[in-house]
Amino acid sequence: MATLRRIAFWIALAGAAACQRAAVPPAPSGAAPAPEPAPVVRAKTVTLFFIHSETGDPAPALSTLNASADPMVQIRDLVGQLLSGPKDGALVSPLPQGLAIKALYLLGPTLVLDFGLPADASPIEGSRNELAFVYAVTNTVCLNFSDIKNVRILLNDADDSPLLTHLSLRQSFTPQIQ
Amino acid sequence: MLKYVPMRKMKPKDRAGLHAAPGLTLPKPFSRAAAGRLFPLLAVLYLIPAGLAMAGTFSYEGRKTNVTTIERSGVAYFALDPVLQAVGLLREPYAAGQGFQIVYQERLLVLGSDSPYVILDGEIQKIEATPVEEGGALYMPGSFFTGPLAGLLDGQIRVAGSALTLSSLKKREGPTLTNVELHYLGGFTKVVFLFKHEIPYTVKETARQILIVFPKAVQYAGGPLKVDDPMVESCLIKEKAILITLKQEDTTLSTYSLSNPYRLVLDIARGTPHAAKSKGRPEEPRFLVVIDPGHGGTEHGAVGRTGVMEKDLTLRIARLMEDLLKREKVDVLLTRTQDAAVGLEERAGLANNRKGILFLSLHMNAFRIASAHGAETYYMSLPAREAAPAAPATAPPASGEESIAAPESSLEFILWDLAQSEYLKDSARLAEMVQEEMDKLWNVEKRGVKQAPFTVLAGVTMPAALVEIGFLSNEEEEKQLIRDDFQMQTARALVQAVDRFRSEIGARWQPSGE
Repeated sequence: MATLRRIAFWIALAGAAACQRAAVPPAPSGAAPAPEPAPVVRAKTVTLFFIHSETGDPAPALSTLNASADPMVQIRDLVGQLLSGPKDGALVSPLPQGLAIKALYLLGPTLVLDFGLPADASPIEGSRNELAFVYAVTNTVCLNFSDIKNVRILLNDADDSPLLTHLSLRQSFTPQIQ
Repeated sequence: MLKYVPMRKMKPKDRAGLHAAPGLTLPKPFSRAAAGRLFPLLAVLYLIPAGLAMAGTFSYEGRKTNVTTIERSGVAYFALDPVLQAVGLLREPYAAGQGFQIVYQERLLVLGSDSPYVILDGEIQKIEATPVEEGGALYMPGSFFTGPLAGLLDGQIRVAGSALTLSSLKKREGPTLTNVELHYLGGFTKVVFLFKHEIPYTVKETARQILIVFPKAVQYAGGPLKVDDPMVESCLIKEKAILITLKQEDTTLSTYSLSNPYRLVLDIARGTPHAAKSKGRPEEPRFLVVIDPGHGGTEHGAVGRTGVMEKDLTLRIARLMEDLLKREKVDVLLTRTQDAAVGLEERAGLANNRKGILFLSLHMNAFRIASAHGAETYYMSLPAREAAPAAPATAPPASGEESIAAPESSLEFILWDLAQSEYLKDSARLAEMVQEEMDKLWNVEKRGVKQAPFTVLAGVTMPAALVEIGFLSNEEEEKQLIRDDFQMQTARALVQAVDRFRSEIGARWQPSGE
């Protein structure tokens, strides 16, 4: 019984240590190397791309992402902030209303962003609106996370959506400030 | 270097923000103290994963194969490789990027070990949950077997508890025709045969009949076709052939195929008798301008404050252009001649099939900023090379024996890219000419042209541009755009651009005779 309790103690100790690993500072030089390098955990200042309400030009807005060891969590936060719209009254969001993040994942340098759409979403009118939408997302993601080179957008799991009647989603987008 | 960390490998505290990810059920955030208390139990479970694995089976043609099954977050997973081996298939590294591929009878299924998406014959499909890779084995959720894998095999896979059963594979004895549609689009009839898979065919013509012959008998569950069409008398599906009888002799036939889903399309137009073509003297070299009036039918496009619709304005200006160009003895083809919905692939297919020299798509713009004004002209941008297993771009349909197959494989896709890049330079020049004429029309300072991946431009195999003539979201421009005289001025400006292209560059593309 005592042996079992001792085993349980060591397992629990190892578990607690594993849970705190992220907070462990880097080992000083000369000390035994840590089993894994500690990930960088810090807040990040980012630029969101909206459009200016008078000129219609792409307009940046600064924001902050919460600290996270995982860039995917920060990217989700970033896109979430873009979906929430600008806080500055001089800017407007080029994103269709009702969009939500369904999934996002990385394939090499490509971020695949799958948006969910409300069932009653109407097609976007005008190619300028479509371009403003896809490039607001692409510019915001790529210009804040330099390892992401392009963005592939899916709408309700598909690359063929009635929401867009001009642009093809069968290829990924690279950042472009027009 | 940014690295994608599969969620199942994340630390619990990092997973907290990802609870909305589809296909995954994540534990609620919990404290470290709770983690410490739970850890002994978790550690024991982790140390004996084999205890969670169950013995399942895969049955096919009376043979049973043992398949390991596991359960994660309430989802049942089955080891993939034993199932594939039982039907003589292999999981191989994906030839064109990350992930794996399974090939069966020239069909391709691509999957990734960290992705809840798979690609079957170029179409993205979502499965129930992200696969699980454990001990060198790849486990797929049951929905993968009943959905994409069954689709690849053209069979039916059932899941009952820990047992998978594959019903006998359908032998591809002949093409399966799932639907037939006839649309009269003013001046021509479009006949669309929807097949389950791509199938080779040959077309034979007589004065009033079109015979499509397949290598094997066509399977069609529908009954006899009732045809009510101004140009087509009847359509008979029998054995290895489809026989279309026309109501008149003076018709022109264009045949091409479209992919995803596979469709065989016949455009039967009033005009030169197709049967007489080979008897007469060779056709004169011609310069065919394809004008594509954007939108149509239920797809009205942008709508102005007055209620004017983009689809109506583009058709009106296209018709005016047609008249002006015909006066100059230039051949013109409109991708639609009435208020009807025509698919973007079909528009490109029609232009390719009729061997257009120049393709100009007409649109009206809209923007949420009402002050946006003027014309914008675009030409195609090619996709960036990327690691993602992107579905092939819209396949360019073409006619008969010269048809360009859909770029299903990576190599074909690259070749398709190269073919497209051949047209890019002249597409850019065409776009510039159009934009210059439009800037003069609107009396604005010179604007540049832009590149964007427009679906309709992706499919055409000729110099092509898309012009957004003006903004219906701009009150002042809308007032102009609805005026008859302004529409005529627009048509003249666009024809001027076409004429400049013909004189400066067109000769290079013009056929030297057939």
